[in-house]
Amino acid sequence: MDQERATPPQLAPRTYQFSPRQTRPDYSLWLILGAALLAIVIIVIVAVVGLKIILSSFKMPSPPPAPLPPTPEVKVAPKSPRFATDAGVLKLREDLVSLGAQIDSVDLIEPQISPPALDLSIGIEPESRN
Amino acid sequence: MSRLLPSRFIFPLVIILLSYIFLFKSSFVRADYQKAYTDYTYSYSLYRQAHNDYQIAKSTFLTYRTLVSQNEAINKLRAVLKARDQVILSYYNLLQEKMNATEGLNSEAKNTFFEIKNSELAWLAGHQTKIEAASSLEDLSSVSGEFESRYSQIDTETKQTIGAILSAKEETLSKKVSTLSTNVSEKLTEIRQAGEETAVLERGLINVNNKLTLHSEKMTQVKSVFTAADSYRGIDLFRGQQRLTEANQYLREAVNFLLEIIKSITG
Repeated sequence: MDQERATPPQLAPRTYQFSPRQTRPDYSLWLILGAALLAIVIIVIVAVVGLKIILSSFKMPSPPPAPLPPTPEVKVAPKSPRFATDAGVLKLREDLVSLGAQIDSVDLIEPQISPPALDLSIGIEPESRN
Repeated sequence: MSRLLPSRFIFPLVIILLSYIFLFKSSFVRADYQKAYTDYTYSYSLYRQAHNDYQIAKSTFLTYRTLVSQNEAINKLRAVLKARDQVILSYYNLLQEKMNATEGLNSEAKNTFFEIKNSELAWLAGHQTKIEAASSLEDLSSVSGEFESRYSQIDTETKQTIGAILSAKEETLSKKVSTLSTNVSEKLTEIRQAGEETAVLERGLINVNNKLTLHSEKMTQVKSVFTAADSYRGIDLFRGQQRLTEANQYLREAVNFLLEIIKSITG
């Protein structure tokens, strides 16, 4: 009986059983990569735009345009040297100019012969007469 | 018996007289038109005056209803009805003279209107007789109503005549443009036969012909406006004048194309 009290019962070693750890996919790497890519793109855009602004501000002013030499009056050569002074052609031009003036000045309204404004219902109404 | 005039002078005098008549015929026609216009405006001014007088007399009668005011209204109504007939009579004469003075109107159109005018004048003469015979306001109002009924026919006839006059003016110009276009075409043929290049110029002539075709189509529309008489609405004079103005624009463009062709030749 003392031996039984002296030595406590030996318990089986407690082993803790854990459920296997659920491994989550490692997004952190992708996030880092995406953020880096975005940063690179933004930096490139800003760099290009900034460069353009800087370059345009450093653009050399163009020299003032030199005054053009006076153009000599060149008479346009007629298309038909032979007929340019032809009497028939000149007569046609004269007739066309005259006819053009007639067409422009023709009166197609003729207010003088417009119908007169008349009062058609001029009598006294029957109920008014009584 | 001594001769008043030797025979050798008669023939030259006749020639001179005929020349005088033919040379100044146009001025005679214009004088006739001016006289007709003066008569018409005078008739219209008398009508306006008679109308004003009648309005006053009518108002007085409707206010006081006395025998004196009634008689006055009757007299004034009779006067304005006669003046109104006179306006129409002088208006028909004016249109006749305008037709005579318008170039391009054939004699058939003038004769037709002459007959229409005589028919209306005969009706107006009968109407004047009825006006004279009417002795009461009722009778005069009835006679006035006859004029009102007749007026739609008068309106159609006169507007068709105006359309004929305006169309004749435009057609006259169109014929002149066509003639000049033909002359230009003949000149281009001459230039081409002389060995010069005219392809571009002849393309310009195509444009001219296109404009003349459009002008012709527009004149067809004008004709339909002035002949289609809706018994309710009558002829739309304003629309006819609009179409004529549009047709005239095509003629202007045709002449401009012809002038460009000539300018290309002369430089």
